[in-house]
Amino acid sequence: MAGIPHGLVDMKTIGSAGGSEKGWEEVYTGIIRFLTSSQGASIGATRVAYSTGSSSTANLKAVGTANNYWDTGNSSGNNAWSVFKFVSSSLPWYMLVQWVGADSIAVPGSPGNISGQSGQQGIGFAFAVRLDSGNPWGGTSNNSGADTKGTQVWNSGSSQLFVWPRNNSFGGTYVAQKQQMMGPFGTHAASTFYHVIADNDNFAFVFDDSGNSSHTMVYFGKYSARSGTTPNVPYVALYNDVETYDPFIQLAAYGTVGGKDGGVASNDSNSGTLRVTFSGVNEFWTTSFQPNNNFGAAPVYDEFPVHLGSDEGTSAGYLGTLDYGFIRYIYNCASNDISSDFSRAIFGNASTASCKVSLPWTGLSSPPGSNINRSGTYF
Amino acid sequence: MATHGIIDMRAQYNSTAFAGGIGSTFGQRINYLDYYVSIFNFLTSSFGQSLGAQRIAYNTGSRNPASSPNFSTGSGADYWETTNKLGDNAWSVWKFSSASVPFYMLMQVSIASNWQSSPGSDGAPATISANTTIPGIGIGFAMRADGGNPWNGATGNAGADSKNYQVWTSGSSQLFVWPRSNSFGGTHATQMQNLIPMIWAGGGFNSTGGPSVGSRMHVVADFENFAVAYDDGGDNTYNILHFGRYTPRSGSGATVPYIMVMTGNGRQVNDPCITIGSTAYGSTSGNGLDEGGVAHPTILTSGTRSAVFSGLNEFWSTTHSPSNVLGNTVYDEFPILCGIDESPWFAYIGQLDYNFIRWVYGVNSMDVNPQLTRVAVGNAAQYSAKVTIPWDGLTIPGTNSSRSGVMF
Repeated sequence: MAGIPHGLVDMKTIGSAGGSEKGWEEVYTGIIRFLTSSQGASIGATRVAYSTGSSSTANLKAVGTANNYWDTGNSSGNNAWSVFKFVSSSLPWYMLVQWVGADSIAVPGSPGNISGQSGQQGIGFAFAVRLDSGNPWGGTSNNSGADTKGTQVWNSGSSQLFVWPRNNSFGGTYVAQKQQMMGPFGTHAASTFYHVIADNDNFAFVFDDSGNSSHTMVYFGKYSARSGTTPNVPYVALYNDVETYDPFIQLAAYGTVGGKDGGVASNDSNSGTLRVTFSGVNEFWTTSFQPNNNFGAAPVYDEFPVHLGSDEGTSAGYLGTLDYGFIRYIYNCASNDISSDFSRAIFGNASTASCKVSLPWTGLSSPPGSNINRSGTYF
Repeated sequence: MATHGIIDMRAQYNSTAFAGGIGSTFGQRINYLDYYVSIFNFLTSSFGQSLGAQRIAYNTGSRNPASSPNFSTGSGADYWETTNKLGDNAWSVWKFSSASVPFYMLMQVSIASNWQSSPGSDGAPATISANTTIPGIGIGFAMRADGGNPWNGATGNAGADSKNYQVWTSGSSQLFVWPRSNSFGGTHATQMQNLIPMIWAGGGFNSTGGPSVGSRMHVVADFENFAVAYDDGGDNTYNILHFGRYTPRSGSGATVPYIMVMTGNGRQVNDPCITIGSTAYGSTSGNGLDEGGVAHPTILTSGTRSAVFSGLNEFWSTTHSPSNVLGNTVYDEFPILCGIDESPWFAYIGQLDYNFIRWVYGVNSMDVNPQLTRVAVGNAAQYSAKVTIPWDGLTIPGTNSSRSGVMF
């Protein structure tokens, strides 16, 4: 784990009466509030471009003027988006986040797709890195709320470009414009819980639709390479499209439009990002083995590294582990449990007897969901 | 840490080799004696010494019941046709003094279908896989938490030692014994006399009683680990017997972090070579095809319990192995994770010593790395999960034709 983790957690949407798109606007606002806060600054999040969105949504009549909640004076409009640079990472990476309301993706949010959808409301994330650490953003960078996307959302410049999700890369459906994003979409109920947790090298958006303790997640981060390899760009991304996955990060390929999405950077300049697969020692993911009852007076729940590999025919093999300081497998803990020192929280399938992930937490005794409100809790 | 071994030992005799002497019944069984002698010689060699192997007791064995003039009472530990030959039920006990917690190994050979005859059974009937009649080479391990000597027999160390009624003893410390059936709740807990087969005629192999011509064995060891790979019939299908130290997981505080796994003769076609997940290694009956066990990590009075293994099997596929990512084309070698798997104790405890034994997928059995420092062992099918163990850096596997193998 690089740097001290921070986050804005325990946020809940209240936008239900006027339709779910208000909820998506709130989710976007919550993410932006964190990234533009002092906590966001401390992990190196630096906004390089943004658009406050359009006025065309059915329920959000005002033209977006800023990045505040829909029921305030300076709300963001439909298709608002922001681009952040994470400058404190050893190899800076860039994130585009955008919300879409009922009127689908349009100017100023186009070109764009969320998980293959252009006519759905939702929130999408995309990531990009240039090998030379340069800025891959293909749009304007006035950073005053009126920026525009480029025809190509991301640009290699004079370097090599790596983009997530994988289908923005070579051979992918969206390679021409690189407009694909990944994230939850569609109508959702009010009282959705969500958390944003990050450090210098990692970012996680955890989403609990309707607050039922089952989660989806968008994750981007740096992996620890296996011995003998020196990846140029050791970054990986994933999006879980189903709340009930067990294990939460599937032992399967990620990098498919509209499904388990994500990808991992290749060292091959002609390959860009590739599908990624994950693995863990699932023989120990049983109720017999967890909690582990052999070490000291109190049973402990083992936390295991999340292993990964690339998963495309011409470039497939084991790569290493996700940043163990940031994200780990864990089994048979209840969703939304926290560790005894309150430094980690558990997210995944609501079923206790399932494999979930643990992420950094606040250090406060309140577990996820116990102190929840629209503005959330910074740490 | 030194790594040594005796590799490429090849069985010499078929069932008719002694038709005019001791008879075909015992023809192939002579190969057991040869393997025993070769391993004995390795452990007493300078290579064995550099591992810290110290013989503390042994018996040269009895006369073979075939009553052949060529096979009289053992008087030494040499090959069967020599003056100082080995006899039936010969055994020896070795201390591995360089281990962080010294461990002791008992090795015994029987060719005459009677493990209960003297001297293998003085005061304590020996069994192999809980059986008293099937010929083979049996092996057991023991250690004390204080590092002391758990051997309970005589230690004249001149070839005439005897076992005691209890083969191993705790002394003033805590005792850990392998196979698991010798420990608490096991069938052999009282006398601790059970051995597991290094090779034998059970488990569906060696129907004629002994290894056939061309069968091969490799023994490799370092300060903390001892492994035997055996190919019955010379078809490149191997089983593995491994005893060694595991690296405890963070926070475990394991005091005796040692573990044993034996994929029995009937398991030479295992894929993976060491079964993951559902198979508990080390039964209370001591007669399973998957034997071994692990010292309880913290509760010393619990002795040895069943073990379980795991690995990153999502990468055991033709898609992922060999790996061709990041500019490399390599066969990844993965750690073998281990746990304790006996009610009420179920736990992940750590991983086998990665420097000594690892998983690999997609290579042929007996393939070596480019430096010839590691060899793959397991199912003959290329696309199966095997283990790799150390190799000598020089020898092409299968090129030696002698029973005495190649020492390094």
